[in-house]
Amino acid sequence: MSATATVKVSYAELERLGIHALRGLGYSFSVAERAVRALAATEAATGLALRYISSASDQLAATSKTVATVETLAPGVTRVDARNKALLEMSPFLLDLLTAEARQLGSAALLVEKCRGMPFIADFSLRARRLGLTIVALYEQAETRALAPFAAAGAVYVTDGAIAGGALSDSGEAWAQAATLLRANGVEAAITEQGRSTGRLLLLAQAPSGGATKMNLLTLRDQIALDPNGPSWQCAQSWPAALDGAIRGQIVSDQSAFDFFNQCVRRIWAPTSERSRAQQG
Amino acid sequence: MRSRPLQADGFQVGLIESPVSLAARLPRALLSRLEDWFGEDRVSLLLGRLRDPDEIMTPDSMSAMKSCSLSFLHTLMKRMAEQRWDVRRRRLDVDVTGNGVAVYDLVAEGHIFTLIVRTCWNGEEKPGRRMDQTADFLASFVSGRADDALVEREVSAMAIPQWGGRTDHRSYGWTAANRSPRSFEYVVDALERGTQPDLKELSSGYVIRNAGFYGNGRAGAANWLSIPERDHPFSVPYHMDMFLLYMWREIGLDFVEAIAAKRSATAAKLDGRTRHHIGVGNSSGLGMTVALVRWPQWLGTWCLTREIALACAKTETRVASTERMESLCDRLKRAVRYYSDLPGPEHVLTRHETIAADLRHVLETLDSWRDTAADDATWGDFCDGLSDTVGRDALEQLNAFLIDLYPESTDKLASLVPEAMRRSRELVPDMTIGDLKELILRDYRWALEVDRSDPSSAWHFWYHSEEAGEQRRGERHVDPCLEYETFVDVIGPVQLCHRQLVEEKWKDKDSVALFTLAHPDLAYIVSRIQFLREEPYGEIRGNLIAKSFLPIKVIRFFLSIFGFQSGIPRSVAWVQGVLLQGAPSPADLREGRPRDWIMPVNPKNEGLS
Repeated sequence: MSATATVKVSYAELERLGIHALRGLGYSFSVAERAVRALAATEAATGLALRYISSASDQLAATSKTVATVETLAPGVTRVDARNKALLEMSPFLLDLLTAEARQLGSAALLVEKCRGMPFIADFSLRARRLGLTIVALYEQAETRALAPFAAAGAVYVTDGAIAGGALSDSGEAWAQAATLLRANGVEAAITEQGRSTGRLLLLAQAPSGGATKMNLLTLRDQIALDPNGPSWQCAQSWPAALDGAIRGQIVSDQSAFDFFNQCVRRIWAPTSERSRAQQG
Repeated sequence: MRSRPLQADGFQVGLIESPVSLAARLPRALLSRLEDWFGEDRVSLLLGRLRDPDEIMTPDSMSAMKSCSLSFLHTLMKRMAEQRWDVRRRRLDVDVTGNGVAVYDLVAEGHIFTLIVRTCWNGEEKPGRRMDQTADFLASFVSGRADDALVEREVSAMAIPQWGGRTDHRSYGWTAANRSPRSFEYVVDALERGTQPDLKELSSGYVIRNAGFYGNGRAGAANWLSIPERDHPFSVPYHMDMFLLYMWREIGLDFVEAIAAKRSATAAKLDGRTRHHIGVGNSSGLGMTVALVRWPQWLGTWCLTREIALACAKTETRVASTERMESLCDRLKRAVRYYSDLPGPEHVLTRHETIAADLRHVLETLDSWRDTAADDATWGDFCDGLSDTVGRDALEQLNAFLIDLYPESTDKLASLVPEAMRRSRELVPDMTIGDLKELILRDYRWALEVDRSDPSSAWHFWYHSEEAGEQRRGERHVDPCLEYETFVDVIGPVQLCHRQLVEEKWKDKDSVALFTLAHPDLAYIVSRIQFLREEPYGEIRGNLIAKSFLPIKVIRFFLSIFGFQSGIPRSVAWVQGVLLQGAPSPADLREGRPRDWIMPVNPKNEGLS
């Protein structure tokens, strides 16, 4: 198998140009400005962000203007229909909602459906480190085999500012275990129902001041079996060091994916009128 | 407290109070630091002297601001002199045309850096724009001592036209400069003939002109955040940019000498007076407006630091300032001479001759005040007494000089800048809708009051041009691609956000997180409003997309932050100027020989009283 051409990229370069590239895909400035950190951090942590954007660009563009919907299932339990939007843009908003509810109520759960781009769970967890919450996140991706080597499902834990996690041995079992935490809220079935949509995340958060479920999140973390042979990108323990290394040094990215990224940047370059050019002096 | 009804876009949004005192908006941590430095009583006094953002953060007011000892170039030069930074030329190879390579080594505070320079002269004057195919001079600033292989690598990469090459994290970035062809050749010719150039003929004051520093990741260069926050020569924002500006001056001087020497075995070298006189040119355009809006914590940090420094100065009494009077008088006299020699500017800015006349009046008033004012009269009293008789530019020049009079204050306050500028903005998701609405009314009343029903109030938009992505300003009803508008307009999103909060009847106890999930396109403005609640000077209080707005007003302000004494507008969106005339040489810095180089005398007027 021939080696893929690579290019050395700066983290700051991805952040600066990423806003333009995402706008070139159809995102507003506001969404692009938040998503660009997801792009840069996930590329640093997993090496998959630029390739994902390159392979899923049509899907990203098609959903760039749609808006996720929110439904309260029970106090502190919310269902979010991401309407096939990617975690690239959804990650900061989901973390915001989870944080707000956890801080207000002591604990919170988000069931996110029809969401794509699971490698961006790396950004979600990297951001979550600074919030002082205990978080368990389970995800099942909806992408097709064409996006291999994305593994089917995984888990991430954020506890005391540290990240752990990886690919799941048995996704169904893991989700069922997690669902038992919400039995009292009457939403267990919503989480484990048959025919559930693919592209799902279950995000559970506990604030330091939270009540009885605190120990249960840690217990849940210990109960869930990870696949020791899961793909390297899903080894969550490696993400913080990879991010720090990228900020201090550089990222080695796929050349063709980076070329596509730059093509997206140039999409926002507009023709200039003589009047406009004359102002430059 | 005064209350009045507010109408914004036809909405009655209820009564609002007068702005909360500035002190109440400042972070507790900052107030503690100030109290540690100056004592509680003094801090209480100077907080009362902080100027209203509504008054000083308008484009007109900002345009009048002047460089002071807090400006980045001045804090850098001070550091370079105190720490005796050691810049030496390792190598310079050039042909008679001016094509060549040079390498400079910097040892600063135990750190080593290399500046690798490539020059290529094709005979054409270049404006120094991003869209240019190349630049006459390109340089890469790398960490550590670059060996020959790294030098060769960077020289080759920089040779690729239109910034097509790439570097890596060993380089902090690439910087460019161009000849001022007439001046450059004039100096080379004079040296070639064995003579010194006549400085009276060198009207521009420079031989090469800075064309920008492209760092922080551009073309694969190092991330600025990779520089430690402390104990690093370049931990202060913009110090690297300013250092490279300083080096362009040296490089220009070295190359005119070297080219002359190639052309004639009896060529002269520049004497010390000439080397000190020649500065470096600079042009700045629309991108500076975008940067100031895009990074409000930079704007807010710098302005707050300066305002606190000014307040410190203004609370000093006449009797306590006796020893500093002469210094102030000297500066004012120098400024009168300096502004009298400068032409222009045009474009509805205050003419330099008017500033000179106003400063003469300030001097005359000071002459009387120093002998007749009460012992406890303050500089603030002195300035207040001038406000009806002296224009804004002259008052701001006086303010800058007052700040400079008290280095014991500015040195402390300058230390606040690096950390504050590194703050990053995060949305506060659990803030309630009620609190957000109150913030908008408290801090963005100025934005809500703008009438956007008039087309002239939303005339322009900024965008990236297909000509190498350069920032341009277009007209909404003429130019295409409005959907890719660069973020410059704060007023529109603030008004829209406030309208959605009110019209959609969000409950006060709902979280901001729910609102931004429903309105992701407003997440940025929400986080900005939250972020700036403790940055009273973080916003330019003006309509930047109005037909009447002149970008040069904001560009001149940004240049004053860098350390420009005065920029000359060449259009409504482009300002030129010269820096570092009279500044210390590398030998001066190495040997700890400080120079007072503010507002140098025009050689045409040397010897005149």
